[in-house]
Amino acid sequence: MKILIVDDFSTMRRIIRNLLRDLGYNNTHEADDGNSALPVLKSGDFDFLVTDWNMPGMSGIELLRAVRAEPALSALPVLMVTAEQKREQIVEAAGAGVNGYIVKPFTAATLQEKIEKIFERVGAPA
Amino acid sequence: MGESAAIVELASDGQCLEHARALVAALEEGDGARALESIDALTTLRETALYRELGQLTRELHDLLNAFYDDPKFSALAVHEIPTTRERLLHVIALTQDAADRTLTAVEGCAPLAKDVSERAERLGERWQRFCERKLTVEEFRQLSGDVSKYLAHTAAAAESLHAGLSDVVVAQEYQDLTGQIIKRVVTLVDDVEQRLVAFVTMAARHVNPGDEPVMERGATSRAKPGSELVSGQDEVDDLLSSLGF
Repeated sequence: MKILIVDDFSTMRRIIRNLLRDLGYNNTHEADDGNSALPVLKSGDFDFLVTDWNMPGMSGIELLRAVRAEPALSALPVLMVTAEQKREQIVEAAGAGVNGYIVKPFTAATLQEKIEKIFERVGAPA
Repeated sequence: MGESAAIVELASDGQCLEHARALVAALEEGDGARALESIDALTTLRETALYRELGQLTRELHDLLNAFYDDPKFSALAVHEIPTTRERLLHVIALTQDAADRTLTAVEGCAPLAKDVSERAERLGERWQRFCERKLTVEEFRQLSGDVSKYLAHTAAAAESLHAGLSDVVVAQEYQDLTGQIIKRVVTLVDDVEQRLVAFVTMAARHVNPGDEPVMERGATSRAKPGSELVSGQDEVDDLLSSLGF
C-alpha cells in the first residue's frame, strides 16, 4: 500500500513513518504541506493519505477538500492526525469527507485501529 | 464616569449644602437673581471637583509613564529582553528538534536489529523443537549446532548495538534540562510584563469605572465560545464522530 504522509514538522512525519513501518507499511512518501502534497497525489497512485491540519500554505482541511474535489482522488481514504481538538473542527473534517480523525498525542495502537477501521469500510487495496 | 467620585465628594462638602439651602430660600422668596447665583456656585463646586479628579488622573498617568521610562528594566525589556526571548524560544525549538532527530535515529537503528534477532530465534526455534522431538537427522543436528553458535555470537553483538542505541536515546534527553531553564526565564519575563500591564489596566479602570476594578486572574484563558468546546482525548473524538454517523 502506497501512503503519503503530510505534516509540516519533520519529526512528526518521521514518527508516523516509523509507526507505519512497524505495522508493515513500508511504501511511504512525505510532503510538508498541502501545496506540495496535491501534485504528488495527482501523479502517483496512492492508496492512503495521512495529514495534519495546521500547515502553512494549504492546511489539512483544504487539502482534504481539494482531494475530494479531484475526480481521480475523490475516493482516496484520508486520515487526519492533528492536535486540533475543537468540536467544530472535528465536525468540519467529517463534513468534508475525512475517513478517520486522530488527535495528538496518540499511540501506535490507535493508529493501527483507525487504519484497520478505514480499510474495513473502504476495502483494503492489494 | 469620573464624576461619581467627585459627586461623592460634593455630597459631603459643607459648602454644597450651604449653597443648596441658599438656593431653596431664594426660590421660596422668588428671588431669581440670588437663585441663579446659588446655582452658579453649585456648578462651580461641581466643576472644581471634576477638575481635581482629572488633575489627579493626569498626574497618576504621568507618574506611571515616568516610572516606566525611568525604570531601566522597562527599556531593557523592550530593547533587549523581548528580542532575546524570541531567540531563546527559537533555540528551544532547535534543541527539541535535535533531540527528537537523535532519538528517532537511534530507534530506527535499533528496531531492525531487534526484529532480526527475533526472526532468527523463531527460525532456529522451529528446528530446535524438532530436535527436542527427536526428529532431526545427525546431519541436520550438526547444521543446527553450527547455526546456534552463529546465532549466539550474532545476538551478543546485536545486544551491544541495542545497548549503545538506548544510551544514545538517554543522552538525547539532555535537551529537557536546557529547554526547561530557557523557558523558565521566558516565564519570568512574561510575569514581569504581565504585572506592568495589570498596573496600567487597573489604574485606567479605576478612573473609568471607579469601584469596578477588573479581576485579573493569573493564567486566565479566554472562555470557549459555545460550539467550539474542546474534546479531551481520542475517545471523545470517536464518540463525536460516531454520533455523526461515522
